[in-house]
Amino acid sequence: MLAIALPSGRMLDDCVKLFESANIYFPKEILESRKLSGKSGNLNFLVCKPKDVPIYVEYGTADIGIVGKDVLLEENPQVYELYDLGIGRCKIVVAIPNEANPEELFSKDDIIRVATKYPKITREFFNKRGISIEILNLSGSIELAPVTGIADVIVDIVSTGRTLRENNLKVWEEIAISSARLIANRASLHIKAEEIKSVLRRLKEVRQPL
Amino acid sequence: MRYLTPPPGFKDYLPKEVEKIRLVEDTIRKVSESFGYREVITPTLEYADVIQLGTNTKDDTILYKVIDRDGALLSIRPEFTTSIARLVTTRYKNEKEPFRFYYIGKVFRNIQSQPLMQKEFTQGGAELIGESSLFGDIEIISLIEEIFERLNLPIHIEVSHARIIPAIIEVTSPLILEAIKSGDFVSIKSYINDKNILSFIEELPFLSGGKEIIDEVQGYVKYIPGLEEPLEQLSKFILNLEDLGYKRTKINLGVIRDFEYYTGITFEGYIEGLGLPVVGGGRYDELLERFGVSLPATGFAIGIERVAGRILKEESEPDLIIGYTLEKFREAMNLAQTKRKENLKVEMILCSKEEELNDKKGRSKIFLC
Repeated sequence: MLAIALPSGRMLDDCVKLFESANIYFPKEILESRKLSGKSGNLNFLVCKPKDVPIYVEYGTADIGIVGKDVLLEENPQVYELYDLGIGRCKIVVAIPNEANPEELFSKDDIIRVATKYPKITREFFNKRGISIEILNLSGSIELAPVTGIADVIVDIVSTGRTLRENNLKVWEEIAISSARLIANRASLHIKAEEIKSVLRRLKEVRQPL
Repeated sequence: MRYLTPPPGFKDYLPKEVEKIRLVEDTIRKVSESFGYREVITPTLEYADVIQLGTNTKDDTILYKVIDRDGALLSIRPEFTTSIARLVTTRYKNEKEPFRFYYIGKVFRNIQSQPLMQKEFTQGGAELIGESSLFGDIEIISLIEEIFERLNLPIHIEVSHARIIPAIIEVTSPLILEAIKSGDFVSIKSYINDKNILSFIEELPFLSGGKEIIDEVQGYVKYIPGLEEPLEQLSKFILNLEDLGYKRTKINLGVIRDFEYYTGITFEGYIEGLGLPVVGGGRYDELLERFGVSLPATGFAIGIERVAGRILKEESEPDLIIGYTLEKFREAMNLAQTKRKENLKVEMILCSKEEELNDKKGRSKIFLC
């Protein structure tokens, strides 16, 4: 039996499609009810918040998991990152108001306030650039922050860029590219190598080309 | 005063847990001594420079540091191997190797604490210093297998070699090191053009088994010449272990140890149902040189609380309860002392009537009134 943790929300649909194309049956009751786990063959699917996927995997409650690289960069969990599944592609960017001039913005005397749900990635990026910032740790709808003036700029993920545009923001810098990764628990990878390898092989076969 | 609980990453251990911890420690002690190892105690605090010299890590944020009264920067030990290397190079300078030492004690790491990742935990381990041959590595593995056998816990020991990653770096890029250390087999790919080397790295986390694994990857030696020697050592190593009947150990080229000082055979041990390793170690032939004496060495450390958590054992109770009234104190005390000399655990309870002695655990009771 292999336990696999999947992220709830946007990426879950992509994961389900991926499993279906790999001929791995995904228990429908999870999609149709409020159940958060279900078995299919020798797989036990667990659905949790994206940020929690690496936690379940780190403890070995889930042997493997699927999670965005953005979460891995932020949380830095002790897990093996085995494969880039190619789904859930997005960019982690610094976005600023459309009318802002970055040179002026980042050289002003006041400390820049950055709204984000990625405090660690944000801190590292601005430290490297030598720009002093203050982090405003929000949990969603980050684009609202510059509109309301609670922050000057944001660090967030963008896929189509639509939300940025509609909230009068533009990309200043790309910090990293993210996509869904297959991760594995350290002990499970050693003890259940064959089972994990077989799931990995099937997912590799159906992976969409970049 | 902020709270009445211990700070995060620290905890109280109650008798039931302590008994298990002591059982693991006693087993490490007995088995290590049966292999000729002797116990040493090193100080909890070392000069920060010494710790830095040993662990050689860029990231020293995991160290607890304090300032001594003369202004020297001290560090609480995050592990024992560095201290033992220092001890051997200073106190045993003029003596003939090999040295066999074991230790049991607390270590402290200022990490983000989680269940199973405490800031304070107990390590027990052994170091074999001055033995460069493969037999040293085999002795260490057999010692570990013996400890877990006596604890009745099936251990899976996964063995790799510290020279494999440098061999890959030599033909690719030093940039892959950070990725490999953090177990990221995805971003590594962007640094590698050669498809043969890439296919080796993709396979790496799954290359586990017996001698056949070595034969399987032999073909990669022509693309990664540095693999030849480590593979040869691993091959000899595993054949010897198989020959001796040690069955809990296999090769796993995907095992990557965090500490920078390893130079040869390295390993990690897992217990089913626990997502983190319970034992780790390996050969560190160049560490002692940093302290001025060039000696080969190998060793292991066991995370004692993690192992203890897997042990099934009933909490032990006193063998006998003696209840007594105030007037019978002397008589009760004499009886208790007699029984204690017979090696019974005796608890005395002052009470007024026999009913007060009723507990649900069904222990033997005597009531004197």
